[in-house]
Amino acid sequence: MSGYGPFWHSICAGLLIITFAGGFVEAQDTIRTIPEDTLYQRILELEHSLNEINKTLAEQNQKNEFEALMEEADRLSNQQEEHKVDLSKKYFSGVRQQQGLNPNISFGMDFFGAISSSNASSITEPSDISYGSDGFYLREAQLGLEAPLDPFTRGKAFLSATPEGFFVDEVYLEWLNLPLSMNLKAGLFKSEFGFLNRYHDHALPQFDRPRVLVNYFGTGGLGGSGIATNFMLPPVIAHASSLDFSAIYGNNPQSFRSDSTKGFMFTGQLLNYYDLSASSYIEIRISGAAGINDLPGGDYNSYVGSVGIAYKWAPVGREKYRTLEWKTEYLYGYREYGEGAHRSQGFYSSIQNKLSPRLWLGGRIGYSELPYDPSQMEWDYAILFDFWQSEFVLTRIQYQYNQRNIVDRTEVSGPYPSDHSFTIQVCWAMGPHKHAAY
Amino acid sequence: MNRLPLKIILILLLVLGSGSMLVSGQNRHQHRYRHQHGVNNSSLLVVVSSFSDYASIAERIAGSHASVQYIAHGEQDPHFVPPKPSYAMMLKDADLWITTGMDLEGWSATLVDKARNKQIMDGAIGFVSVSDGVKVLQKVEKADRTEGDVHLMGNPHINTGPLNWKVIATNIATGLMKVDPTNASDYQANLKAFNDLVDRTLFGDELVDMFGGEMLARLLENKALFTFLDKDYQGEKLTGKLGGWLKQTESWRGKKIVAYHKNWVYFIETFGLEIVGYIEPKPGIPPSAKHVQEMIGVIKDQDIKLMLVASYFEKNSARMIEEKTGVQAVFLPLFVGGIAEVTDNFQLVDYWIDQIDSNIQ
Repeated sequence: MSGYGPFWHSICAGLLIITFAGGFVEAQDTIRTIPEDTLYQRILELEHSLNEINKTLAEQNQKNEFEALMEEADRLSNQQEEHKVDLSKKYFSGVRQQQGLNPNISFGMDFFGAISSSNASSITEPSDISYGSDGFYLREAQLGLEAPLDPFTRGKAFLSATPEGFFVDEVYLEWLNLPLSMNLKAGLFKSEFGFLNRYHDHALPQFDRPRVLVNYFGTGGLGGSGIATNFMLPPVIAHASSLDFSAIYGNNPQSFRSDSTKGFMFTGQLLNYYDLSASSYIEIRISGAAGINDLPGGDYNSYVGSVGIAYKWAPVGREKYRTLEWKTEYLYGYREYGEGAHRSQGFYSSIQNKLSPRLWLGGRIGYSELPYDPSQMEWDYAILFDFWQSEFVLTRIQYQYNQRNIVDRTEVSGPYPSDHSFTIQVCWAMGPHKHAAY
Repeated sequence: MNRLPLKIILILLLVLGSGSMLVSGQNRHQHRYRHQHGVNNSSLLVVVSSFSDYASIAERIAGSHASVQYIAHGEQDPHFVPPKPSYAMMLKDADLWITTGMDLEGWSATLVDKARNKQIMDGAIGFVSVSDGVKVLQKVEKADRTEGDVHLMGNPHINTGPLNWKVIATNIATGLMKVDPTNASDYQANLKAFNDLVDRTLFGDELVDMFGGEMLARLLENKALFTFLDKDYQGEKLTGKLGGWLKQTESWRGKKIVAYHKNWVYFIETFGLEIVGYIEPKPGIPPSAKHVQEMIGVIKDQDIKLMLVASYFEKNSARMIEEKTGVQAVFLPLFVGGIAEVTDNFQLVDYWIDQIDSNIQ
């Protein structure tokens, strides 16, 4: 192991031989003159010296062996593949490769086929198609873009194409972490109102929006261009609370203006969130919207308010396999006209039950009066199965019955019949966009 | 058709609302302290981590200077933690926010955006990415979804590799020193003690005293430790001086197992097991009956010794394979707190080793 060992052995052996040889010659001359005990003492001293030398040698050997081990360990722990010159290697500049700065891009498709007992082909609004016409439809192809704009703001854009044309669903930027625990949004967006208003169609828990939402806000929901604030409130009355306000110009003929350039719509929402346990929570939302309506003869106001409650149970550690979610929202509308006001109401209550990692069973019941004529009303009942092939591909089968007492609507002519419909929907998404519902 | 009775609906909603508030009020205390380690003291730093394993390490490094909380429960699937508003409230007052820093906690972006806390945003002084410096395994070669739920930055389950803990601890200590420089010396001392504990628990005292933990860690990471330990020293193999978890698991090395998901790659890298197949056909895709049958074939053909399943996965597929092949399925919590008796990382790996050791064939 050590290069010094044999050398030291030779030196020591030589010294010993010289010592003993010298001693022997000397002994011949003096053996009779040295006392016996002195000679013995000297042998002991020599023996001690020899032991010391051997010990030093052993220590040196051990040290050398350990040093060699450390060297070997160092070599083994640091050995790297030999760097070889590769003449086939190509070199690239980074100046034209800025893709890393591109926004997150997602592309979602919402396709369905439906048959309906009424086959009322005059009803062509996207959410109405399911109980209007038999056939296959592309409800929406949506391009989603999302990226930080700078250290202070985020930008989001959702552009959609439908058979009726191209639309801007939402385009806005959002300033985060402003004073007063506020986030501020500016652009074109859907307002915070109840549970479902901000959902894009492909992310809805059922194929269509509850009828009460469609009748108050249309199939696209309550939205427009403007600004919105979101305040995080101190957790005084709930485990988490937030307050939203928005002021928007929007097209909303059902309850407010159809001409988006004439007057603001204002919305507000208080959200209170309560953890019941690690596996369950309740959320309560109180929302309101106000604006000027479309009735001729004056600037009459309309108001829509809602109270909603949601309960979710997702057992910790088993949430991949079992989840139960229940949402109920009640809406009340007050719509002024020349001689008075229409008071209307409606609600929906829906449940989603995850049966396995891929399969959900859901249902919904809803009731709605028309905001401009509360004497006309409808009930909707739906039952559905969702099959999630993966997080990005959904197939849904929904049966729906709409029981109507509606003879006249502003946007369609003729009787508006009760209807049984059966829908098969397929949604899929390319890219990273997923809805972060909790 | 009748109109809806408005009064009845309003009364119903009021009853539901007040009932829910009553129930939630009873559970409020339980929630606020559910995830919290240490004491609740306003003079302490508030440290929040995504997972309990990071919290356990942060607690050792921070010592008495911080109150440490975490978000995901120990038995929860780390990929799918609901970003609840109450978690955003936890982050609102955090001085330090600790996450893996890869793409495992996709849910955390929503929370951070809602938390109104500039200090913990990406790149800010109070944000720590514990994976920084970890030798990441299974880096993606093919980034598309034909491979299931791919992690673009490589396998993010770094908590399962004890060697990674030292990197995680170093990152946490760095974060603590940035937000609380006055106690930097304490954090450094705690880091040194923690790293030494990891080394001694992993390699045993004798080897650490001889060669130092850093050298041994490098050898293990370079897959050269056992080649090195095969050498003679003072007439004996160095293997005889091995202790700790690596000694306990020496007999595992080279044995073939199957796993449910790619949770265990850092663990098996450390302890020398070989995973030859997964019960999931692709990450995030639930196993089909056909794939389960294929796995039964693999297990029979390849002399498989064990199935390793994180306890948050369904048990039916593994049980079925167990019945058909006789190979044991071991269901293990992936994180600290996954079972009540496991309260830190060391206990967690102790538990894993005990369970595997008593079931591996």
